[in-house]
Amino acid sequence: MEVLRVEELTVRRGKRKVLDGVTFSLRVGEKFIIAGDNGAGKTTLIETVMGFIPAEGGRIYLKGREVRNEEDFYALRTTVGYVFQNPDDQLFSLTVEEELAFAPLNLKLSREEVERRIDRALKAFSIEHLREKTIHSLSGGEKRIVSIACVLTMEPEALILDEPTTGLDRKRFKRLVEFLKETDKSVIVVTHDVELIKSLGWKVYRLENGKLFLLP
Amino acid sequence: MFSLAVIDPRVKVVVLFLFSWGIALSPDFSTALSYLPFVCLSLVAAKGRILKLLKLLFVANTFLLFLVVTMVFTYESPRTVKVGALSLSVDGLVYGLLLLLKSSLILLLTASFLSTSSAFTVFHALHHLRLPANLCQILFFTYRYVHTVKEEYETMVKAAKCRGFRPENSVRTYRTFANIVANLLVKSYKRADRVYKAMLCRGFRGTFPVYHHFSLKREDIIFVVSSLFYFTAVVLWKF
Repeated sequence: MEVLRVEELTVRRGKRKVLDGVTFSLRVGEKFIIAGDNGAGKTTLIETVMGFIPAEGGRIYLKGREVRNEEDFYALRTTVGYVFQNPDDQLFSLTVEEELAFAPLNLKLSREEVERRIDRALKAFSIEHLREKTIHSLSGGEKRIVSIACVLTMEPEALILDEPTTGLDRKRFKRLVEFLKETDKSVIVVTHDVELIKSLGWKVYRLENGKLFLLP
Repeated sequence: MFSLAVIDPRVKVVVLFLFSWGIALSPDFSTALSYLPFVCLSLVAAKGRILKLLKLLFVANTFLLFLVVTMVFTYESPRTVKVGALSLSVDGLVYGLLLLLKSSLILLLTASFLSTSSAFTVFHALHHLRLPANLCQILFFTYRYVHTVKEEYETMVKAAKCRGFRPENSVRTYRTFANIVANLLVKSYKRADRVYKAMLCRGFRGTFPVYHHFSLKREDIIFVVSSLFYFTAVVLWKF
């Protein structure tokens, strides 16, 4: 079964086609990488899928149902967790705990469930010690890990991570790779980090001149 | 010993509003001064922050002194004192000093009340007191991103200095700072857009959820009752 399907997605900036008929699908449990040079349109692709950039053409399906309006995109965003390229854009609460609670509180979950999800997300990356810390006191690597953890508390069925290794040291890099390999969620990693691509060993798509190719 | 830090921020905001309103409406010195013991007690209860608060008062009063001086020269009243060619208004001086006293009392009270809570808990309390959600969110995000904007500003200044920039009194310096400020504005706008997207990605639908909630304790009740008692006593005595 497909969690997400994108068909013939086209986005234009001025006269240039940033995305030119991009098609891919993400099945339950499937994991792959979208690689490409800087400015290739990787982030544009993800932001279009999430409904932030209007597409000139193409269709997006969430679990077989076409995503057409803002309400559909709300369902997509809470089903497919998106980790932003820059953690400072994603972490807007005052403390780590409040940051982690933001999504489950929006989903109107019970207090106990919110607590449970916070504990689980902190444990997943062994960052229990950061719970009470303020966001602005975190290092770049810590912010990166917290930005992933705060999407996990939403317990999405799929994850899209945009350049997730930026600012990570060796230890955290390894932990992230382990997590991505172990998780039972569907995952799309958008990156141009060759080491990450090698470490994951997943199917790789390349975005070039607005088109998406599957690399052999 | 009693400390303001243990009092529920909602209670502090309400009491602060009440007393600020009372002080601001005081028609004369004796009424305004009748709030002084309460302000002094608050300063003591702010524990260890008195020196910091008095410094703050000193800075604020340097601005207020300009206002007093302006009133002395501009306030129209029959009671004037001639000093050479200048005509000084006695009523202007009296009103100016009353204004200075009232502002100082409100400022000290505000500082002693709010310095004993974190900025975030104060915004949180305002949210609980049913202040418009948009206003609370603006206050919260301003506080949250002040550090980030400051870091960005410092980075840009460092980058300029690394390329030989030395601030001086010249058009080029002003232009450089104008560019830095313009860049900060553009970056802040773009960041605001991305933050909003990040919020949408985590189920945000216009209402900012609150994780920690307040609960009224015995000390809060005692504090609010005694403050109300004091306030009522002043009102009954003076009006």
